[in-house]
Amino acid sequence: MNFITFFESISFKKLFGLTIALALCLAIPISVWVAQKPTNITKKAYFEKPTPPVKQFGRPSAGEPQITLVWPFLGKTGDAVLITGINFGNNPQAKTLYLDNLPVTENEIVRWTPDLIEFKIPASAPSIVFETISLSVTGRNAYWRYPFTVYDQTTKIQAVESGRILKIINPPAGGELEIFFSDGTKIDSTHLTGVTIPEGKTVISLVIRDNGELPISFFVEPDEFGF
Amino acid sequence: MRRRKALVAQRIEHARPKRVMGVQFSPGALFMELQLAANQPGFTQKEVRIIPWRGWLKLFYSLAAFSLILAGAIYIPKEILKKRQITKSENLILTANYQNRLWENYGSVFEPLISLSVYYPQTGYQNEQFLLDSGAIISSLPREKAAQLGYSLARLPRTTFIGFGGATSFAYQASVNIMLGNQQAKIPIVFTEAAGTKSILGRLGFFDNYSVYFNSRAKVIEISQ
Repeated sequence: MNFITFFESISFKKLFGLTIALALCLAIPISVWVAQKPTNITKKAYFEKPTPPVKQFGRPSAGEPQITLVWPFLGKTGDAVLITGINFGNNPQAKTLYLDNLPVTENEIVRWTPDLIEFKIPASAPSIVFETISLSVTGRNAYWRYPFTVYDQTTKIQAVESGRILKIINPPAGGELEIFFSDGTKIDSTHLTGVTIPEGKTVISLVIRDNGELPISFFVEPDEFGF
Repeated sequence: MRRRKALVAQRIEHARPKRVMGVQFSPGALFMELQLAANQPGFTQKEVRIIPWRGWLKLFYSLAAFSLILAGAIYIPKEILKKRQITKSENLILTANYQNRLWENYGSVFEPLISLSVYYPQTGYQNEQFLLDSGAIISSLPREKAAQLGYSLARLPRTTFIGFGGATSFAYQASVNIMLGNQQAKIPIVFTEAAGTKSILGRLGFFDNYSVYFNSRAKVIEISQ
């Protein structure tokens, strides 16, 4: 109560002076301390905790699935490959995708839309040439019967295309080359040092065979083949 | 003091009778009793005072003014420091002037371009102009730069990206060494399908590691750690 009586007895003028004086005595060192302290500026923007994407399964298409192109025709494990076509369904649950007998798992399928499938070449895929890519949607199958080559970082054989001349670097002795075109035709050649690609034809796949006619892995520079 | 005591006595005199410990006292008698008791040894007389509202008001005023001044002493330097930090960051590593470009339909609009030194194995560091694009997931370079940077696209991991219009293209993942001011940094990039396009600095490895501030007042882009 003495405290209140003190306030009662002191005049407003004195109280004002005392308050200012006392506050300034504290404010000055506080200001200096705040100014010297490193300022942490925190701004809280709206943040939504990221949730792992959940694959949504949809309905299969009504018609028969058909593959019109698998592009590109080669790759390393983990590389993206696109399958274009029709009636693939909207990521149906009942579906399979195979490179010959090697299944492409659900984790390796990046996208599955009615006209486009994107998958990654399975990590378990050996560096060989696969003859067929097949898919199945609710029991209905589609096939791509062109060679699909898997190579690795040690692959030395390279197919080079320049000015519509296709040649093989480090070719196998006695080997041969098959070039598949989008119009369904193909060229077989044993001249691995230079094969002319006819005007107006688009290469959709290649295969290099050794002298025992076994397909062997090779690589190409993507720029030369447009992927 | 005497005047006050007299006033108190007067108030007691004119007050209504009081009942103290079951005994009825007239105010005058009570005062006399108290005075008698006060004259006894060991009894301290204490002045009974009624605290007016003015004391509380003054206390409230005093505390309010005091708090206000202290709050100001904390807030004002903080605000000044904040502004100073925004305009002149100690961690600033690179600034680039706004570059305006005249558009047919929109007039002059600045391009968020910065020039960075990119390391080429054959020639060393060379300046490369990048477009700052926080909408891009990853930085990108035109694919014709891959060979100059010593990369073979065939050996790089291949992925896809969906461009404008929903077209799917292939991209090849790699990384490049750049100089950001005086600092060397390695940022992940992709070589994109579209040759001849601008080099882009995207989020992965750049926007998530560096602060980019568009200082419209000074017309500069500031990049800080």
